Amino acid sequence: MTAFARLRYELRALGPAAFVIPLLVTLIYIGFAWIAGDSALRNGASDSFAHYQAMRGLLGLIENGLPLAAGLQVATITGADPALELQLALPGSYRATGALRLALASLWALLVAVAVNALIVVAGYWPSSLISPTPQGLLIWLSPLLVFVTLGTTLALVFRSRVVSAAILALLWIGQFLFEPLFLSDGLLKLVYLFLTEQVGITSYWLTNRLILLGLALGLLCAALWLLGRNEWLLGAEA
Amino acid sequence: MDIRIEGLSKTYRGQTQALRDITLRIEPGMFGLLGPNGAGKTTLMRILAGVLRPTRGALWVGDHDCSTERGRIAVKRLLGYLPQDLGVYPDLSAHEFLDYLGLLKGLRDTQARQRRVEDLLEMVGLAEVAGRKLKGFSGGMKRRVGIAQALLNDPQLLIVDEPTAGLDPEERIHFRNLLADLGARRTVLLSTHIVEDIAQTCQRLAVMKSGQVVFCGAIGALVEAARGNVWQVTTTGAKPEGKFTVISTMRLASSAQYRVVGEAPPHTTDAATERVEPVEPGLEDGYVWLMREQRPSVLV
Repeated sequence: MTAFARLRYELRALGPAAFVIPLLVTLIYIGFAWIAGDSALRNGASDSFAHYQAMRGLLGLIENGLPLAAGLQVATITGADPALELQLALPGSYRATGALRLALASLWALLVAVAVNALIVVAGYWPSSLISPTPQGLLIWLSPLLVFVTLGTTLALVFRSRVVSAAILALLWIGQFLFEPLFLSDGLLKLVYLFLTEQVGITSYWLTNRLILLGLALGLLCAALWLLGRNEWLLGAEA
Repeated sequence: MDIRIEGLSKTYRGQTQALRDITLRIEPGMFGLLGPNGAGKTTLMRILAGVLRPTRGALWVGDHDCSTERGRIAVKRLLGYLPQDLGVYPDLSAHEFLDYLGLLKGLRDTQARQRRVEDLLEMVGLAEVAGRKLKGFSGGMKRRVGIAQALLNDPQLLIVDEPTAGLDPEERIHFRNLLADLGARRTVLLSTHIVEDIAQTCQRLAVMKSGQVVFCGAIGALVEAARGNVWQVTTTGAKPEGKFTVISTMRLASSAQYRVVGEAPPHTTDAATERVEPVEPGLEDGYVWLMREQRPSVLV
């Protein structure tokens, strides 16, 4: 009962935006995917091309839309705990509270991604000729999602500013599109390219890329947890 | 609950020295901590609350050694803390916010916790708006929520940092009375730069300046320190100038009265000066005198 009450309050403390924004992003991307398919048909393209356009839009949703939304959300939550000093004066560990909130916000983004993933499969837009929907196929979105979430948290803790961390995340996101040729032409950079599936497809190094991104997310998570235990840093007293 | 601080220093990374070799003993009851902005009061409060760790020195709260993690956690269980910048979760109601913090403070019995929350909301006069979201609360109402959360675990040690900042006069009086009542049964540490708050509630105080304690003792002793150095000047001329601090100015029908603190009375040769007379010092005079003098070796 106590644990349930705690969870309920932590969810409330996250604020409604944490739950609404991933859903909004999903709706926006689905709308764009539908428009892309429909306009291809109107311009005389074949059914298969229109289907491909819609599929890319939906892949974009799970590989780059939801991860960005989740990253921005956790950056906002972590970078601005209004009752931080009260929390730090409590007997329990703030690291545990921060980790719980991060887990809850990530879990919601994960649930939305799973639901969208299932929807894409059911609607016949999954690239099944290239990769099966589960379990390896989940890495299409799981790897970039975890990178954005852990990076958003770490940036918010390092800069103690949701604006700065959100701006860096947005720049990283845009940079992935703008500098795609640079990323893909470099032997090392292509292994950390975040939107590989939607921009290139399932390549020979796709699985390596996804696993490296998961490792990167793990490293960022460790950094975030370390920072969550540094009270002086969190209060901005440690210059 | 006694607090013993010995040789406590705090240097932030970047070499800003916030506290310098502080030694203090705080006994049960109301204890005031006074000083200008930037004196190190908030750093000291945060160290006492276990939020920050000192760079050097020893700190004992009751039998708990706060240089150990176990000691800090034990003190946090006995502690009520109202920070200077009290933040709240705007989407929670006052009742929910207190219930949430009660949970985090280890009040596991749901019914007992709910009763405690309701009693405290009643005590701080927020029972009627308990269900309203905190984002709709005024600054004064949030401070009242702050004091209620600090009392959730019936703390033996209550640390309040600038509790009356931003409150209107009526709320300030209410708060001061509340703190004085609380101080009858526990150790209450009141940090502020508002002299009046200390004068109305505490018997003992420490004064801090530039990270050091420059006075520690009874309020009466600080007041006495200014005796013979406080004057009232009545003049029809310009504001008196010299080696003294003007504490207050009162405009009268055809003249003005100035209360000044300094080593020597203002000059009386000015034709416009009607009267210069020594007056009884108050705590504010003592504080200003101390800040002018800064004689820690004499007064501590």
